[in-house]
Amino acid sequence: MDETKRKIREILSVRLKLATAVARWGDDSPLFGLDGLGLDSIDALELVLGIQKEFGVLIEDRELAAKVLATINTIADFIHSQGKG
Amino acid sequence: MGGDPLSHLPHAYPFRFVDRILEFRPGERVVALKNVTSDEMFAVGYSPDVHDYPPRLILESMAQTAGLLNPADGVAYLGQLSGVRILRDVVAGDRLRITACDIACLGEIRRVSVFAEVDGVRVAEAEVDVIQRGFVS
Repeated sequence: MDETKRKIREILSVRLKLATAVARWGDDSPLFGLDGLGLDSIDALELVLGIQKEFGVLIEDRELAAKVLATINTIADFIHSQGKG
Repeated sequence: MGGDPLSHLPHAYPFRFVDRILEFRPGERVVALKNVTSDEMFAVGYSPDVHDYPPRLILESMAQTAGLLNPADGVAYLGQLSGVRILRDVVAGDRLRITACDIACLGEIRRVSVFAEVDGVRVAEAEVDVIQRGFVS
């Protein structure tokens, strides 16, 4: 699980260019919204593509993405629920 | 999406930079044609002695083609350009063939791989994010 979270953080750092913010971001801290990292819907697509490339996991609709992309922990949980990571 | 696919472009002369649709598979792939001529607005004042089609207008042609990929009714807006490479000059007389292929879609955002060719030689490529309603939320 720790390796999965490390890779998720790497996606956020490299693909979304958020290295500084991600370094001090908690696994349970929200990624989106007023208290989040300031991500927008284009960032969400970038994150989905990064997860797909790294783990081979598809997130194809917006409702699912809203649940899965909530925090680093929820992303890791979803990846593991798909038998990946 | 019925009728003439070009009718879904909100742009009109002189700011429509796609002339004809050669292949139209919404959500998958669109191939469009832009005939570059010397009497277009870009030729006035851009470069009086050289009839180059400005790279920013190559990108506009590519973005307009990407916007046509969206199968939903309504206007698609440009959200982001990335991986832009301008590889060759395009000049008056060239026929710019633009191919846009779907990469991924999430809600109202679609990422499209687009490349432009003249006589089978690639002249530009980019990834274009188009947004169905026009706002990044």
